[in-house]
Amino acid sequence: MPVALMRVDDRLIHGQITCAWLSFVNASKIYVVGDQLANDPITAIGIKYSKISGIDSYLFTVKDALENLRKFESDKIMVIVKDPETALSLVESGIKIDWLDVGQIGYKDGRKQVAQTVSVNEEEAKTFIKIKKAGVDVIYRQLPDHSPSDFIETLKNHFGNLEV
Amino acid sequence: MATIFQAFLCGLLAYVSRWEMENPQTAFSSNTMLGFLTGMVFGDPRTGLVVGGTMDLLYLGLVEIGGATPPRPHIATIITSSIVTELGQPPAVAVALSFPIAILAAQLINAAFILNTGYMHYIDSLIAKGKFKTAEFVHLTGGLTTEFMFQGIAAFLGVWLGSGPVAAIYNAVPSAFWGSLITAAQLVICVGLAALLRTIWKTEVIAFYLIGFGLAAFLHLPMVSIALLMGAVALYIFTTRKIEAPAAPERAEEKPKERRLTSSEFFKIFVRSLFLQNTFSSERMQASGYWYSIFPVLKKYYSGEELVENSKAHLEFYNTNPVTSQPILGMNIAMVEEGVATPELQKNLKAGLMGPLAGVGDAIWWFTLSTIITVLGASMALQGNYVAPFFIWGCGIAFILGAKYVLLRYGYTYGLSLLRTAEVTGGIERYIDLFTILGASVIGAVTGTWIGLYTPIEFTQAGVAIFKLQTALDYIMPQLLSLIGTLSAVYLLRKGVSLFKLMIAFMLGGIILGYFGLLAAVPF
Repeated sequence: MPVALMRVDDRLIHGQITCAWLSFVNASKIYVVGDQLANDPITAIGIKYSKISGIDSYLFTVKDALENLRKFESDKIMVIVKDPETALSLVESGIKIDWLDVGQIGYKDGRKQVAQTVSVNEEEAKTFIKIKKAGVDVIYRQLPDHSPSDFIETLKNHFGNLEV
Repeated sequence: MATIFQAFLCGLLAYVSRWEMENPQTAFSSNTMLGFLTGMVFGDPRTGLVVGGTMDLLYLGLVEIGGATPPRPHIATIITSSIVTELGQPPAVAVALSFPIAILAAQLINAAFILNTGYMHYIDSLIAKGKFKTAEFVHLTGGLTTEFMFQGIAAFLGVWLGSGPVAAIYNAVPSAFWGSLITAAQLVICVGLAALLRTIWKTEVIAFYLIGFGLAAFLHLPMVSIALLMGAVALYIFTTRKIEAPAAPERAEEKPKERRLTSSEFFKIFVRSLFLQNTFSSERMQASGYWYSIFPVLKKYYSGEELVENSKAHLEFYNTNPVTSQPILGMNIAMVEEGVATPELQKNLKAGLMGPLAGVGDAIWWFTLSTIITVLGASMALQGNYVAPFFIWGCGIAFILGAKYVLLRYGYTYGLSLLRTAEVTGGIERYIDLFTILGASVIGAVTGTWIGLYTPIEFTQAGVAIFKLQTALDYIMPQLLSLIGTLSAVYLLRKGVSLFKLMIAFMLGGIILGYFGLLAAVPF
């Protein structure tokens, strides 16, 4: 499968991606995936601004992303999604990954801070658990240099046992 | 033992320098500067300068990105400079001591970020009630009572109480151990250089790394001349490289609009924007700083409930590179001024641009530009040149503070039309390439200049050396072991070994190999 790393990060492509993850997973393309995101003009422009030489970045809807991921089997692609729902729909559509990297979800009303850089609400927490149930380890890891920690455990500590 | 007054001065230095590092970011707080100033306090600026320069090289690869705090060496520089100058020990002692202090410093910073979340919530409630003056006050004082204060106290205690225990340890440990620390320090620098190389790793970059290395190792050119030469090469490549021709018609729209802020109002916003990270919280990072920067503009155009609503829009999570935050702020001001801003649109602008611009900003300003400046300054410091800290500071004012001003102006002048030009110019990747080439060459030059690993292994017959291994290695290439040390660190990092673990491993390896006389290093 061409996915070198799938990461949940609501800042999309930023310093931790360009200066750490890309070279670590040896990816040559970035797919930023999200249905709402793909229709947002400012995000599209931001991604054009962030063009790094040697790396092609694309902004896709889930449907387009799936199509391209299937077409370019031999590429090494880093997939960035803004929210767990998009990650879940990619996983459910048959994109194979061993683990999902949870990097950054910013705080807003209704969310609870559960890790240094991650805040989620109950709905999002449930989605992460569904991803885990689909056979994907959900790991909190900001940078390659950080030691990975089980994000599902973290969620249990904050939300108790959630029924999904 | 340090007097309480000396310790106080050092604590104050730690306090002010951490504030400076988070806010105006003029590169005043280089380890070279901190070592130099601490040395002044203890009457030996030269030793302080050497300790500072060593620390700048040692921690070169540990860059703060995206709100993740790696071990921070600054209070370690202050504490170890004080101890080393006071006790007259070799600067290598500072190396071993610095690691635990740097880890502690990072933990104190993270703890402060969590406490700052409390301030952030307080600011929320103040703004909801329309108490803007108090909210500004909380943003301006929050970090002073947490983040910067913790660093100040830690440095004060370390300087005041540290020398006694360190002297006792120093005398108890055999001197061969301290000698091997120089080897260890240089191996750690290999890892730091490798960490920087890893972030820009690709084939062209390796070529420039090797050129920089060769100019230093074979031709013994000084660092500044290598930087100058390679800067010229980078500039040539930068200006001659073809870029896809922009579509002409779109460019016509890109005329600066009449702007309404007076220059003193604009300057006020600029000064405020330098306090972006004063109360950096782990929950919403730069949110309060951004609100503080833009508030005078909001106040000029909105009042009452509308002012509260527009202020609240800026209390959401925000984090980007402080340099590339400036064009976002500039565009945002222009948008408010033109009357097209809604709270939703402002949120979208920030959320859409903060990540991508941080990616570019971190790559240019922190990983390459700062690295180049620091390396050149640290090289001067290790030669005992008192200009070194001021060179770094001056470059910081010109290239970091200067860029903050220019980019704010740029964003404000062109406003949202910048969003269209992005499609035309195809982003800023050319600039990244320019700095990457220069950065890779300078990293190569450091490998060839400041890392001096060699092996003392020799075979003797009747007390006369008949074969020196290093002589044989020198026939292949000077500085071969330094190159191998750095490239093997790159290999291990790319294999997925964590940076800090690798630093510790190389340090222990250096101590062991050094102690048994298998590997040694030329002192700085």
